[in-house]
Amino acid sequence: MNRKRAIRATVAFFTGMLLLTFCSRTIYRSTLETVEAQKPIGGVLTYYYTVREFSLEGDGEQGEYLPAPLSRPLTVERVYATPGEYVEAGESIASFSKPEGEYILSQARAGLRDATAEYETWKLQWTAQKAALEEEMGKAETPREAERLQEEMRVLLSGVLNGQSEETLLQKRAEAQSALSALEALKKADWTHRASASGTVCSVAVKKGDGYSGLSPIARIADGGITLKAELTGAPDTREQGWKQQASVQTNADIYAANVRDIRDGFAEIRLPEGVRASDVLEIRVRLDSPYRAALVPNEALRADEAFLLEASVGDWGQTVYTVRRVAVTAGGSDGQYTEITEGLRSSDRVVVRSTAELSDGQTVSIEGYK
Amino acid sequence: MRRQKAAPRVGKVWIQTACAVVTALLALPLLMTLLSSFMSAEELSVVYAEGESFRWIPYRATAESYFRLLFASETYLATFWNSMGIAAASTALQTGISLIVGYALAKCRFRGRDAVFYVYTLVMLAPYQVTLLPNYMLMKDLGLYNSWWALILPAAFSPLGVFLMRQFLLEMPDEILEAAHMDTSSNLRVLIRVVAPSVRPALLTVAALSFAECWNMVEQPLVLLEDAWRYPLSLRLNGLSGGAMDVRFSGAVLAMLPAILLYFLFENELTEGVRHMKL
Repeated sequence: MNRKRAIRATVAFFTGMLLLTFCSRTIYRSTLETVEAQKPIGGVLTYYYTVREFSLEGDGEQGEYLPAPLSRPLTVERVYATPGEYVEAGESIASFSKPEGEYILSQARAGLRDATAEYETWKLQWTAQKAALEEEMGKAETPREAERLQEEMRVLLSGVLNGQSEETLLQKRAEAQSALSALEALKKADWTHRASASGTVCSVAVKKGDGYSGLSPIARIADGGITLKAELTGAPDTREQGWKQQASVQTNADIYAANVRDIRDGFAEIRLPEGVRASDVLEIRVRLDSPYRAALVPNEALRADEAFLLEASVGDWGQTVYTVRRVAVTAGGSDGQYTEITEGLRSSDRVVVRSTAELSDGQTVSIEGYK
Repeated sequence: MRRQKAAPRVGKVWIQTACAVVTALLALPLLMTLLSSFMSAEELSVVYAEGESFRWIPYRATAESYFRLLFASETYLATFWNSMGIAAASTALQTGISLIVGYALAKCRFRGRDAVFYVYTLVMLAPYQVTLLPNYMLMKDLGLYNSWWALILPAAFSPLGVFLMRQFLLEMPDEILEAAHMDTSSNLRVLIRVVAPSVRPALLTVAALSFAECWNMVEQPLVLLEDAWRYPLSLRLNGLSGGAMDVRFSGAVLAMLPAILLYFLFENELTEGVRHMKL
């Protein structure tokens, strides 16, 4: 290497080292990941829930139904009532298929005729049998025979003949009559079931196209107070003493405070405020405050069961160098914003809450804010 | 005739082959260090720690170790300038002192001159460890312990430079000095204006050797310095970035550069100086 090149190389080397000495820190800091850290806060977990879907339960709830079983399902043509709606007595709940209804009605009439004929036949047979037995009893030659005939008469007088009882046949006829009456009443109402009393529709069990077989409720209507039942996913059980719970319902007009009972199995029961109709409720908001204070960290600070702690040390030239250290923590409940830490953190630890990129254990970082 | 010509040719080939082998063996550690500095830490752990056969070419060359060395930690740069300061100060002082003492031992006549020279020679031949403890005690008494002067002052008075300068000055004709003394009676002026320019190759040789010795010193700072931030690069090289292997290699490569640059800078003078010294 000739002298000039050697001189240039030497000058370049030392110039480079000088520049690095003054600029490397600035350059390096620009390459560091930036993190935001804060100390755990002591507080209560607060859970917020907003639900728009809920079911209704009412005081004095009664079912609306056809009081007789149908020989075949009756197709629901249209459903007028919706849960939460207030209906007056006589308002339509659901309408059924007219042709099917006529057919079932004719079958019910035939059924009544059959039941009546069956009973009449049985009655005639019973009367004849009784007369015959009476005649035989008069002609009985031996005590044994007389005893047998008396026994037969006793069974006959109890209303049983050929394994059939009068009571059963009468009940059958009554049921057929009842079904016919219900169907005739339904026909009279133009095959539309109407509310028997005023109240709030809590639930509707049928929908268009369903087959209805009678006796089961078409809808349930309550004339007393209404309770809204909502599922709060992940909600803690608040039967433990000390939980504070608040609820409000929002309608088009306003927001109303509501009473809420203890949360059980993830369900909340909120009493509908007076003056508010269930059909007006747009959404329910529930707030739960845990009864105990705990060390809380923002949810973003946790990665599975680990967190990164910020550690400060003194660098070679007296400056503060920040590194992150991975620690295992035991997390408790979370309210969606904060998570309780039961083990692994001290109050003086600074937990990395946010970072610009994935961190690794022992990585040097720069901090954005420190609380 | 042909046989006589063939014999020297065969002998020359053997000699050249032997020289090539020796050169390769000497260059091998440097080459390994250079190539390993461009390997990642993971690759180095496979090659060295797990005992796989040495891989010459990095599987995936990366300069990350250099980045971590120069940017992620200020240790390297700080200790680099520590070493540079110690070596520069020691070199400057040793060169000046060697010139003066060498001139005195070569050209001045005084009683006990040869004895002094023999003492210098004995001290030069003795291992450094022999004088380490006396040096330590002296620096403690002088209050220079745990300071860079504890390294600079003993190096400044190193006997090797004096020995080399004396040998070089012995070859200088006395007539030049006599002519110089006619113009001036001051020995210092003669030394600076006549002798020093004449022995420039020797001065550069002493400077180069002194710089290399001070740049590579390990035992002296280990014993005479207490604060880690005062350590030179030779001592802190192994501990850079927590002892990461890739960083150590890149640190070693960069640590070699000043000595290599110094050699190329004064290559001609070094060659001439060593040739003239008749060691």
